[in-house]
Amino acid sequence: MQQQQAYPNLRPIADTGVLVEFGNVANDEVHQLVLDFDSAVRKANVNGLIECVPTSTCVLVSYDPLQTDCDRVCEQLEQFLSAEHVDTVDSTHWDIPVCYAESMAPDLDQLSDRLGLSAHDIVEHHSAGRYKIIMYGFAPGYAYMGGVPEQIRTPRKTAPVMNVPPQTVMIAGPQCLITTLPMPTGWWRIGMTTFKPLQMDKNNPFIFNVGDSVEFVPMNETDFLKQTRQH
Amino acid sequence: MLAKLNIKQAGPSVSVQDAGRPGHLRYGVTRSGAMDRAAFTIANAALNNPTSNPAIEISLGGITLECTEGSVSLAIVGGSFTSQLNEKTLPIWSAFTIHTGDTLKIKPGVWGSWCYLAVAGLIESPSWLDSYSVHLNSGLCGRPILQHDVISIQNATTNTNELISLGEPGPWPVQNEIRVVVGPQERYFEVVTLENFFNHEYSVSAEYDRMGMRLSGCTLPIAAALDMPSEPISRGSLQVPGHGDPICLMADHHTAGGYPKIATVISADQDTLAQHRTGDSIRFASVSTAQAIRIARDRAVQLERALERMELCKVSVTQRLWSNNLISGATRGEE
Repeated sequence: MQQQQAYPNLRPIADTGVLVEFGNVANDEVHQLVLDFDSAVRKANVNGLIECVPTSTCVLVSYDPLQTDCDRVCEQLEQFLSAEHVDTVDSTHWDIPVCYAESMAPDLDQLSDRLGLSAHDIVEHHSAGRYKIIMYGFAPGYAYMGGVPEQIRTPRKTAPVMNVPPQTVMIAGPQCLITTLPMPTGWWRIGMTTFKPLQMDKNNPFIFNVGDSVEFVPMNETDFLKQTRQH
Repeated sequence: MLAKLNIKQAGPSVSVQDAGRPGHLRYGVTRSGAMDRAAFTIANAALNNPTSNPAIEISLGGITLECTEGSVSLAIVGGSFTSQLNEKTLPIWSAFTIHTGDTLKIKPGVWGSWCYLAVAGLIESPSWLDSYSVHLNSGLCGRPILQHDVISIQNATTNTNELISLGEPGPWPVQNEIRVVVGPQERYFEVVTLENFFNHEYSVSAEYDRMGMRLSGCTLPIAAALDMPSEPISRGSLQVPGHGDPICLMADHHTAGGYPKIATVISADQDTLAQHRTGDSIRFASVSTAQAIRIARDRAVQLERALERMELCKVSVTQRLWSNNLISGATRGEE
């Protein structure tokens, strides 16, 4: 059963991983600890390390049990936990164009009824928000952004919509997402972007890094269609 | 040389797999790769292929193919599947060469969910992030193999001209006991639930695919409020959603999720678990992390030895029939 937990906390995962927890509630402070730790571990040369996976409150460090063991990995990780924080995480800022036109935003009307705000207000709020990439999950290139303004936060819909196209801008609760693949989703579709967070032809196809900041810039339908045609 | 294999029939989830694409979980990309990694490794070793050479992963749906051009050596390793080359039954694990006009039929046998058809050459298939593993859910790297597909094999060689038996299917027959390390979210369950988890038998439900395996048996109620944020997922995690049935996350698992994981199947037993079929029963046994690491290392040594033994026993079946005066090599491995 649950007990009070001190953080940071290291939990072994069978013979292949260590889950490093920085808290049990997602907030900016905890996420910053996640980012700093993730960045420090990746820059260090940890023997037998396979990968680091950051989320809102923790980092999974996975290792090869044939090359190292849990105690050795934990010992090395402890150094990064106890060390004074000096590392600065390299992050990038992105201005992402969004077309909020009716034809691109099938859920804007319903959301407007639900929130008691005009579609215009929702767009204003959404594009005024400052977002941060918290983590990836669900599908390749699905980067979850935190920072949806309070005024337009809404729980996801009860029934998912099938085959939502790539580059749809959606919100649910405090999070915002740009789809990369046709997928079912219960999030609110409020626009489309010309920006592709997953670029399959690139060597590193994942454009966002966890920790990057994002702002959304409204784009009119004519420009959107013109740019879409060019691509 | 080029060889072509025309797919006459293929069951669902038959796909090209290799050792997968590690290192991209942080971008939402699961590792994928062979469900039974040891069998995949042995199949490639049988043909002296590079360790991660892409092979065809065959599900319980089986496959029938005809060689329509060239010749190429093949190896079949995995669960106990029955294979026929032009009506002739092959040993359970075998290497042989297929020539233009030959038909190969692979069907599930007495146990096992997956087997690997390794090829002496390179299967023409899309690659992404240094891996040929098809990711069935996203469709980002290829798609399952379907009837009427023609699989081209580049640089096809024929390094085994006689039928070779690779020995018994093992040392990994399906065992009933699956070892786990408790956690990382056992705190969401009552002590009695953890006891039930270890003291009851579970059976593999029909919900089993490359993403995960749902088990049924004693349900595992979540005792605490489900307040955990979405966390990274590891292969082998036994996640318990609201219905209380544990789901073991397999090769194509999601990269993050918000359900508690009661335990994690140790890496050494993940292949074994994957070879279980719907209806098969299992029991979980608890080991420590240190034990799990020792078991993983022992298993790596065992696999090394198995490969050496296989090298020694690459005796052609015709030779063996001569020396042992066996009537048929076809029953080997099912004894």
